[in-house]
This record gives sequence, C-alpha cells and structure tokens, in this order.
Amino acid sequence: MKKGILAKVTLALIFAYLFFPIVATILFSVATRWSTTILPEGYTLSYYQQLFASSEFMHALLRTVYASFATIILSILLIVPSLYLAIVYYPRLEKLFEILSILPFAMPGVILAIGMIQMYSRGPLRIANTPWILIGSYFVLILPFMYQAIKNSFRTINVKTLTEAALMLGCGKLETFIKVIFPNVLRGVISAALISVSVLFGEFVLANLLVGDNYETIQIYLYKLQKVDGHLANALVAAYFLVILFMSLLLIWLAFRTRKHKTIV
Amino acid sequence: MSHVQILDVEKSFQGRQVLKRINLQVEKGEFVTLLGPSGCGKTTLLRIIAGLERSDGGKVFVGGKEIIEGLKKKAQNIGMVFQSYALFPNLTAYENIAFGLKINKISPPQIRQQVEEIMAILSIAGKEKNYPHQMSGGQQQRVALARALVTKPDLLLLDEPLSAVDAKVRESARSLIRDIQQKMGITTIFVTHDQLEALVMSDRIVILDSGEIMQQGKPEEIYNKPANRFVANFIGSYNFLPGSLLGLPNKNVEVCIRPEHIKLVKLDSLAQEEDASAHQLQGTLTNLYILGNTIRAEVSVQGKTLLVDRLNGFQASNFVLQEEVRLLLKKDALNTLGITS
Amino acid sequence: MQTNLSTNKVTHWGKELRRGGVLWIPFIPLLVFALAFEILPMGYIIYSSVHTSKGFGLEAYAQIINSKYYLISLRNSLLVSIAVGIIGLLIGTIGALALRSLSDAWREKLLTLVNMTSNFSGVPLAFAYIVLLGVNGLVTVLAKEKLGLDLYGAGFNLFSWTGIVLVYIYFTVPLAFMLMYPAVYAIKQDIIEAAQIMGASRAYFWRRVGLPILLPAMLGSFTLLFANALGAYATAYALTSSNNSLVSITIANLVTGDIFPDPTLASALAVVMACFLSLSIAINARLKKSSGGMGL
Repeated sequence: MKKGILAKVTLALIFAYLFFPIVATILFSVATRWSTTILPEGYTLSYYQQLFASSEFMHALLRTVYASFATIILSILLIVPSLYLAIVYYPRLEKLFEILSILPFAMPGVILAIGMIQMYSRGPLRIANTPWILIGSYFVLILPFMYQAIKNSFRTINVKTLTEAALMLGCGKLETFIKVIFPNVLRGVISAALISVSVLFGEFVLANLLVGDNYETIQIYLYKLQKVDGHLANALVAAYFLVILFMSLLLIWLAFRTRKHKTIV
Repeated sequence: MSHVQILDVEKSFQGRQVLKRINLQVEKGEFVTLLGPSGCGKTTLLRIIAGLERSDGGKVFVGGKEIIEGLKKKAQNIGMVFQSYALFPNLTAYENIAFGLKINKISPPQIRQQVEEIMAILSIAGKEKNYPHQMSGGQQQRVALARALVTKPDLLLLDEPLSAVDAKVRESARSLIRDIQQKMGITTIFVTHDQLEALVMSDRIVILDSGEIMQQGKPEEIYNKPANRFVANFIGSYNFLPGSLLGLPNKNVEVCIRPEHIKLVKLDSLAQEEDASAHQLQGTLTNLYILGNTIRAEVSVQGKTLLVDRLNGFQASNFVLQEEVRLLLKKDALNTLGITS
Repeated sequence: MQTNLSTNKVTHWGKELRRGGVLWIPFIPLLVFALAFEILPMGYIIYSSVHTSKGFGLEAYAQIINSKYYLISLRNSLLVSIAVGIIGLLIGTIGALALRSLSDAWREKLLTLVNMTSNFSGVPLAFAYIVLLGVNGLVTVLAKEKLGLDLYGAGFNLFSWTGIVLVYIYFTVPLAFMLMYPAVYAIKQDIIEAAQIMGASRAYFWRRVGLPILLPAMLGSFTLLFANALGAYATAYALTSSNNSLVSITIANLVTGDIFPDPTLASALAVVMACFLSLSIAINARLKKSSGGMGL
C-alpha cells in the first residue's frame, strides 16, 4: 500500500513538472495582468484576436501549412508504393529503408542544413533560400517517422498474404494495390501524416538556416515576435500547444478505432 | 491436524465473489489438484495459499503457521511454479535455482551441492550456464520446478505449469512431477483446467466452479460417481437422459452414463433378448467416427443424441448410417443426478 | 489436397512476381530524393571538410584540435548532453517504474499525455521558460514577492548553462519516459512474485533481478537521449541567441554568420559531431541486437 502511494506521488510530481510550463503558458495567454499574484488578475482573449488579425501571422501560418502538406504528400507518394513493393516483392530492399531512416539520427538538422546550403547555393540546382530546399530537407526530417508508421500498418494487415489472396482471386497488381492494399493502410498513413504535421509545425532549425527570412515559417515568425511582443508570442505558443493537443487526440482516436475495428474482425 | 488448512476463505473482485467460504484440508505428502474451468477461482485460491493475494475473510495455515499476504516469506518455505515459469531472465539456470537458497543464507558449498542434486534429478545437469532464453520450453519448465523444489519446501504450489509446453513434453512432465513429488513426499497443490492431468496425477481432485467446491475425491470417484451435473459435464463426456426414457420408476429423475458403458448392437442381434443387467433403447445411427483408440457413434433416441464409445477394432463396417440400432445401457454404470425441475 | 494445390499456386505466383519487370520503377524517385537531400549532402560535408582554398587537406581538423575555442564548444556540448541524458533517463525511468502502480486504463492515458509533451521543444519551449524563469519571469517574480527568494541573486540564470541544462532536461524527460516504458513493462508481475515467494525483499529483487534487466535498456535509451541533446539547436539558439558555446550553434554560425563564415571548418566540426552521433547510434543498435528488442 505504501509503495502505491509513493509511486503516485512521484508520478504527480513528474506530471506537474511536465505540465506546469504548458498550463502557465496557456494561462498567461489569456491573462490581462499577471505579475505578482498566483493566478492572473483578469482574463482576456484580445491577444488571440490580435494574433489572428495579423496578416504576418496568417502568412507565416500558411507558408508552414504549404511546406508541411507538400512534404507529407510527396513523402506518401514516394514511400507507400515503394515500401509496399519492397515488402511484397523485394524483401532485401527493405534494408534500404532502414538505412535511409537511421541516417537522420546521425545527421540532425544543423548538419543536414549546412550540407544542403553548401550544395545548393551554387552549381546547377540553386534552390537555397527557396521553399524547394525546405521541402527537400523536410522530406528527410520526417522520413523515419513515415517509414516506421507506414511499415507498422503494412505489418498489421499482413500485406504479403493479402496481396497473394487478391492476386489469386484474379486481381491485377496495380488494382490490388489501389483497391485492396491502400484502403487498408489508409489509417496508418493518416497517423503517419499527423505525426509529421506535429514535427513540421515545430521545426525551426532547417527553416532558420535554409530559408530564413525568404520563407518565414510559423516558428521563425514566433522567434521574431518573441523579441517584439511577449504577450502575442505567448498566445502563439499556447495556440501551438493546443494544436498539438488536438493532433494527439486525433491520433488516439484513430488508434482506438483501428483497435476496435480489429476486435470485430 | 492437516498440513494445509483452508478455513472459510472468501474473496471478491470488484463486487464479484470469486471464492465463497472455501474449506479444504490437505494432508502431509498429499497431491491435491484444484480443477475447474477458467474463472472458477482456482488460481485465486492458490495465490491466497501462497500469500500473494489477500483474502477478504477466513484463514490459511500451512504446517500450523498462518499465511498472511505481504509478510516476508523467508520463514514459510513454500515453493511455487508459475504458469509462465517466471524465470529471472538475467540469471543463468544455476543462479535461478540457487536464488532461494542464497536468500536463506545457505553456505555456498551446500548451495552448489543442493542445486547440482536437483538438476540431476530433473535431468537438466549441464544447463547450469544457460540463460532462460537459451533453453527450450521443457527445459525452462524443469528449471522452474527445480527452483521451487531445491529448498525442500513444506508445500509446493503449481499454477498450470504444463499449459505452455507441447503435448509430448506435457505427457512426460506429468509423470516426472508426480514421481518426484512421491519420492520427496512433498505436499502439493496443483491448479489445472485439464481434466486428464488431474486424473493422472492427483491423490485427490477438488472441483471448483464459480468459487465453490463442487466435489472432491479420488480420481476414480470423481470419474465414476460425479456428484452433480456440473462435475459430470466437466469430466469426460457423459450422456444425460431423463429417467422417463429408460422407464425408471421415478420419471422426473435425471441420469447419466459414460459413452463407454453403452453397447451398440444390431437391431436383430441376439442381445435383444432380455438382459436384466442393462436397459435397452432403440435409435437411429446418425454418425460414426474414429477418435483414435476408440470409435464414437452418435445415436438419436427419441430426438436425443446419445454418444457411444467402442474400442477401435469393433466391427464398425457392419453398420450403415441411418440404420436402426439397439443400445444396451449397463444398469450399474448409470448415475442418478437428482430430480429435474 | 486443395490446400496443397493453392499453396503451390501461391508460391508459383510469388516466384513469377519476384521477377516482375516494371515493379522497381517507384524506387527511382525515392532514391533520387534520398540521394539529393540525404546522402549527397552528407557526402558533401565530408568533401567540403577536406576541401580548403588551397586544395585538399586536413587543415580544418587541425584547426579544431589546435583551437581552444572549438574544443571547448565541443566539450560543452558533450558535457551538457551527457548530463541531460543521465538526469532525463533517471527521471524517465523512475516515472516509468511509478506507472506500474496504475491500472491499465490510467497507464495508457498518462502515456498519451507524456507523448504529447514530447512535442514541446525548440523555440516554443525556450519561450515558455523565458516567460516563467526569465529575469522578469512569472516564477522569478513570484518567488521574490511571496517567498523572498531571489533566484537571479542566488546565481541562477536561465540564459546560462544552468538554464540550458534545465530546458534540455525538460524535453528529454518525456522521451526517456517513452523509451524506458516498454523495458520497465517487460518486468512482469510474476517474476516479482516468484522472488517474493522465495523470501526476497523488494530491494533484493531490484538489485539482483530488476535493475540488471533494465540496465541494457537504460544504456540504449541513454545513447538516444544523448544524441538527441547533442543535435539540438533550436532550444539553445532561442535561449542564448548566438552565444557560441554549443557545437551545434557554432557550426551554424560558421556557415550563416556574417562575421567569419568558414564552411570548411563548419563541415569539419559537423563531421566530428556526426562521428559522436554515429557512435551512440551504433552502440544503441548493438544493444538492440543483443537484447532482441529495445532501442530505436
């Protein structure tokens, strides 16, 4: 009994530690004045109004959305069919995906960025300081997440047997992929996309080093805003965290539905 | 006084009573099996005896000492084999077996001698340096058994230790456990849902259902004289039929008979002559298949299907499906279960 | 008979398809992208690190070894990453162990929350800490007013090493928690009970069995936490701006900085850093292989 209480107190402390900055940020974003009291002295939504009324903010947000979605769609198109083919027809090529998805661990944003800057500032493909270089680097950044999530969803549906069953029934190869395989891994692909959105919305290093002011993403906007208007920046951080919260809930809901679906079958 | 005394033990989980005032005595050296379907409370009872679970009421004594949950177990010397074996994955077979001896501060040379002895008895000598994941299921099982036996426990508790190995290993493990138990004279409580295991291994079987003891007795008593419909249903296959079908004096009584106690004969065979030792029924042969050493026939009698088992070798080819046949039910093999409502 | 026939047919199909001609086409664009944005940039850094204005040579590496400044930034990064890795690992492991006392439903809910906080890093995290613990931060001011505790007067400074370590620990804890949870969960109740039955105390069990089981996973998790902290840039950048004390920031400044751009030196530093990262990833992979599970 004593041990149970000790464990719960420990957990409570850790969670307090993890959530204190988040809760404080959210409270601060709706506080009128808050300096020497435990809780804010009054509440307001005016910072959010100001933030959403700002065209700079909206543009930064849209840039991030464009870059993220373009990268995610590109990644899905590049990874899903080839990973499927690797699993079903070329098992040895799966190794390739493993190598490609482990490399980013040895090559974090800073290293990737300075390699790309040097490579693409001259020569035939001058894409430094354009959104294109950002999309290229984002593709590498989310590759491990994409690969892991998509591989798992292929595993769960036992993709090889499913393919063979479809082929036995006279389905063509392309038809099998489009009509049988893809609908079944769609949910896994969506969760991979959601994880990637969370990662990309929080991305600063690559954007700052590769494009900077030439393509101001939401994180760069936040970094600049922080120096000009603390309250607005704080509202943005709070909003960012609420978006992450929403994504997480969406992911859980997806996972839950998948599990429920499986138990019925 | 009995070696193990279980007095009025009760237990509920979230409002559901899983043990209802259980009373049970186990004598020294006895091998008692707790048998029942999953959820009958047998494992909970075993865990209460082990002191791993707290009972809501009642007491358990082993060798005169009361078992209390959460108390340090150094003094009580109970050995237990878990369903999953629960071997320590970071320790070798030798270290696993020596674990309990070390805690009891036995001298190293003595530990060595005792561990080697028990490993030899269980034929796992030579596996000392192997880690659990380097051994087969059967070997892991023996290590778990050795670990429980090496302290020469006052009481050995076995929680379905045979369920995780394949059929061949299981069969040899059955007789191994029984042999060692008898040689060492260790009082043993064994939990299983497998009726065959219970019949083969036990001195006494205790049948549990929904937290209550349904019947206890020697294997042959349980098999031949089930006390109620649950026991009859649970052990082997039984045919249940209303007394009226056999023309018994009390028409409301329900009787049961083992398939092997029914004889299947041709309608026109000589056996149709009145035989005072058997009831006679006429029915239609609806199915006939091999179970291995026996052949099973399904005969429909007035809309009720009776199972008949004959040794394989019996002239099955003499019969054709849908044929009218005669059944002879040995009177002394009939069990009366009580009045049906 | 029929099942036999169909398995034969399936293997036949499999064989035929393995030879399939156009099926490798989807790999081409994937490889092109991976080459262009992953493999070539990495190769380019190595190339650039030995490609000086005077031709090829290891001058940049010599410069690092001979310069106190770069060695210190490297040492700072390694020390911060090790400290953060150890502290984060301990908190995460304790948290994962404490999670054992909860029911399954609660455990899953709390894990989700932990997972969620793991997204809170980089610029937003640094900023949240500035709001709380900056010179005029909420906690700083409140501590002074209500408790009479002058944090900055007592030597604390969010924009110094203490601050960097503090904020780094914050984003390391959720990761450590998630990494250690499966290993902790693998210590099933039954082996604890088996030890208990044999008379082992809780402490004895954890010393002889529990911790030895956890140790490989802890080491493996540490390598990942270390790598994660070593590669981090945004948090420190947002916190200390271009205070050149960490190697990741030094590298970036050498390429983008307006004052002394030196891509060759930056590349050499990046190669050194990548070596440390590869080493820790390799250790992790090794541990994963030998323990059959845990890790990446």
